[in-house]
Amino acid sequence: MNQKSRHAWLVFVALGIGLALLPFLVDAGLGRSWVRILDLALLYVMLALGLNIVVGYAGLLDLGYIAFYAVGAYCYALLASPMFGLHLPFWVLLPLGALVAGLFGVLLGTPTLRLRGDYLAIVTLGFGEIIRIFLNNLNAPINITNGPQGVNQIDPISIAGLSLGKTQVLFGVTFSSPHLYYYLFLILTLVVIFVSMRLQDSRIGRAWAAIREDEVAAEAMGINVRNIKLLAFAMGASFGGLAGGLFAGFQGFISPESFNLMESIMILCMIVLGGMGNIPGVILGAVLLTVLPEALRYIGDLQRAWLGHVVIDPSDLRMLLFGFALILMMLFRPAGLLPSRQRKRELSAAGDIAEQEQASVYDARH
Amino acid sequence: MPGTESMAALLRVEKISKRFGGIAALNDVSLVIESGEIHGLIGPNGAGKTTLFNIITGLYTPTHGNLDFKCCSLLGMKPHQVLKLGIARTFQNIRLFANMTALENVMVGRHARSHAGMLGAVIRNAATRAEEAAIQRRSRELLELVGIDRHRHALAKHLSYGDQRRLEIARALATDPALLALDEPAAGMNPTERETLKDLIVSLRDRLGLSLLVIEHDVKFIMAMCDHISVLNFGEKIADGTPQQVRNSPAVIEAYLGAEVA
Amino acid sequence: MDIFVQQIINGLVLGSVYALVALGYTMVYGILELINFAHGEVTMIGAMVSLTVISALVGVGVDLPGVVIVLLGLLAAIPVCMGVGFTIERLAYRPLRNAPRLAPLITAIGVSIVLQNIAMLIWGRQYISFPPILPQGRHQILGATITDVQIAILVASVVLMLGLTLMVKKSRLGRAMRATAQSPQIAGLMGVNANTVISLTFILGSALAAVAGVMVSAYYGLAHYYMGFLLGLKAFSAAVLGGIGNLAGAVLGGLLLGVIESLGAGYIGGLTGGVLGSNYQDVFAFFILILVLMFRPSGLLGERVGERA
Repeated sequence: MNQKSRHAWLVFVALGIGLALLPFLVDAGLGRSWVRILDLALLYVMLALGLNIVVGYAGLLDLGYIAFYAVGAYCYALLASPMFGLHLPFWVLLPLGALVAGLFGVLLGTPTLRLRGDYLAIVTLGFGEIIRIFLNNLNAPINITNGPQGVNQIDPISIAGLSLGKTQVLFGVTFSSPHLYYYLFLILTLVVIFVSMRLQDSRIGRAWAAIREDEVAAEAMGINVRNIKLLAFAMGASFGGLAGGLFAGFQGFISPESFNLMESIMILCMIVLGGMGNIPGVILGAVLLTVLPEALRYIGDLQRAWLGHVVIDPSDLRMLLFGFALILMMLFRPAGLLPSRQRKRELSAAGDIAEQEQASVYDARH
Repeated sequence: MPGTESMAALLRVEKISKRFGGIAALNDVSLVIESGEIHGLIGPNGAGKTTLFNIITGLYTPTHGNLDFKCCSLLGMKPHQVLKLGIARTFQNIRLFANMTALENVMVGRHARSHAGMLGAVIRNAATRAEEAAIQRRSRELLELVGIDRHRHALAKHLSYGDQRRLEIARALATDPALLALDEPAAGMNPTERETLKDLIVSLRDRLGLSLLVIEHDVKFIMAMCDHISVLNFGEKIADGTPQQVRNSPAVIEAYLGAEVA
Repeated sequence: MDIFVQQIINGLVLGSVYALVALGYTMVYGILELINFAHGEVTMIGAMVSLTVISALVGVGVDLPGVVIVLLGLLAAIPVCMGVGFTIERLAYRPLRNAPRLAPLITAIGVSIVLQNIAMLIWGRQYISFPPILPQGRHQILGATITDVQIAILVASVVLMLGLTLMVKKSRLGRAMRATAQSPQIAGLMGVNANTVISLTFILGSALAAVAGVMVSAYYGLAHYYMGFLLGLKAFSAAVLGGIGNLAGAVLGGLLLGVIESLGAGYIGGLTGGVLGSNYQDVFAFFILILVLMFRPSGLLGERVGERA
């Protein structure tokens, strides 16, 4: 083992220990509610990585991605709650949710194959809304989804008889429910990251990049554009479905309102903000945008500290600041916080013809 | 030209017509490309050369006519199916994957000749690893063949114009074609680059046994290299034969002089 | 039959509001290829500002006809919206013109969130109602009813759309806009200041949005800080349905979407034997949108993006 790889190993081990201890540190430092936020952040990382396959790798702008999260969540909720009196185990439900969501990905992807750019965006957005509206209204004439009330009392995930919904003592250490979910989500997030990395650097990943760059040339190079696009939709959707199932078990309650358009947009913001196509960037974006709105809840305390009393209700101010943060981050890092290698080169390249041409388009103003 | 009918016909274009709206871009064009020949396609601007190219490679569907390649008809095939049968192409206005490296561009060309799927990509088993290594090796060879291996890690869009054209040829070669169709491969090149390109094209035929279909404006360039030339004008074929025959064809002289006068 | 006519009338009224907002989307898209996500919010600001002025005037007991009061509200809303539109472009879009394609989309979403929340801080979370000062006349036509407000909306929309068409076709600015949309580069060489044209496009679109905002709040009698979101979404869908970048397409798409929605709401229950209620109205609209785009991927009047090799 040479110096360099030993160094990499040390970083890995340190990172591993850090991630393992994180919930305890957060619990001690910020409180139990922040462990739950941590869990949610991991779910969003999975979602963002799923959408990254569709948007970042294959270049297909999908504004209805949350629908697959919803499909996964409802899949779990309906088969593990008093709703139909079914209580299937999680190791059936999670793959099933991913599979069903993947099928939905193909189903909704098929009609969009000829569409480009913003047309694709609006159609996927439409599909997202259609699914949400159906979830909202399928309580009559036959009650399937329980409508706007949502599904209650969903079984917590339980592994080998160990329910993650309750505090457990293992090896003499007490783990609260959010702690337990943290470890499950962490493992699955690592799996999703691994799969994402492997896919990006593969024959399929190159084909995705090719259709993102130039669909006509890709087809002329022998890529079956239809199948490769559907594969991206299916793969992205199944990540979403997996995360959805986990969400349902974690929350114990879901309703259509959790799956509105704004959620799709947030996930898109995560990947663009972090750095589309770049896995560390996407992870950073997801964590940041999950944590930021929560952190902004503390503005109330800040106001008290600085001004003596709360001038503006923090819940009113929170989203405003969040909006400003989105704008500012984009203005200062238009390629994202951690741009992918391609984008970095795209922006830093001096003196390349295509770029000069592009620039001269807007030199017209001088 | 009935004399050219032979056993070795690779691509047979039969009475192809193409209309866009009311306008006829091609009218009853027939030609035969034989195995191992360099076939030139020339004609004034708007003669229908690129339209014919797009029909052969599956991008357009002809209004009438038939195309036979090796065994089967190409009618109704999609571009990726045509490619799989062994016809690869380059584009007049260069369509590289601009934000991928030169090497990655060529590796994409291997897509149709490799098999790894999702599962292989994720578990990266021995077969997949071997395939990836073979793709890399072959792609490097082709970059070397066209002479731009030293730029393999540069983004395609950062290459010089001539190198971009060469990269497009390497990418097309990566698909293991029997027929390589080049749409104005020498456009924008200086005389030295043209000379190198000509040598490359001839060596592709001589060393790899490829057949080539080349569109070019530069008549001198094409006369010097082609075995057989077809001339299009206003969507119709006006001449067909060896460079010598074409050069002496009254119809061709008239078309070119006419074009020049206008 | 009278239900049918009634739904067509309602649909056309709603559709002309969609069309006015859609025009704003499509003009910006035509020039910058940018989805101005915040455009719906500009409409909302227009509704809110005009309502504030109208309520204030009614509150102090100004002795003017209702129509004049509403026009005064509109006169206040238009410059505010123009200012908002101008500022959005300057601060959030212009610096990103050479950035990756999705970057301005994110700032647009950011602007949208900011405008919504500013509106919430100013006007609160509750619905604001439109004072009942407009004529409440109802007219019978082909067995259906049309109100004065509906007539006013239809007439005003037609006038604005004709005016806009005339402007784009005939005026210097219109010519500069079309030139810039074709190629900012060449237009620049010809002496067109692309930045000015872009600014003016935003200002113009925002003025239309202000009018649409007043119309929609007068029609429903309500305004709310969140109203811009769904309205913008529908209007953007309308622009895409018609073929984004195409002015006539935006109008056609808007009217069509309005009519489809109304008919859908009116008939969906009957058609499905009561299985699907009128709460599926939006499904219906999106479904038609998807269906149209499947067969005409560039919208109804959009230019066919031919594959050139």
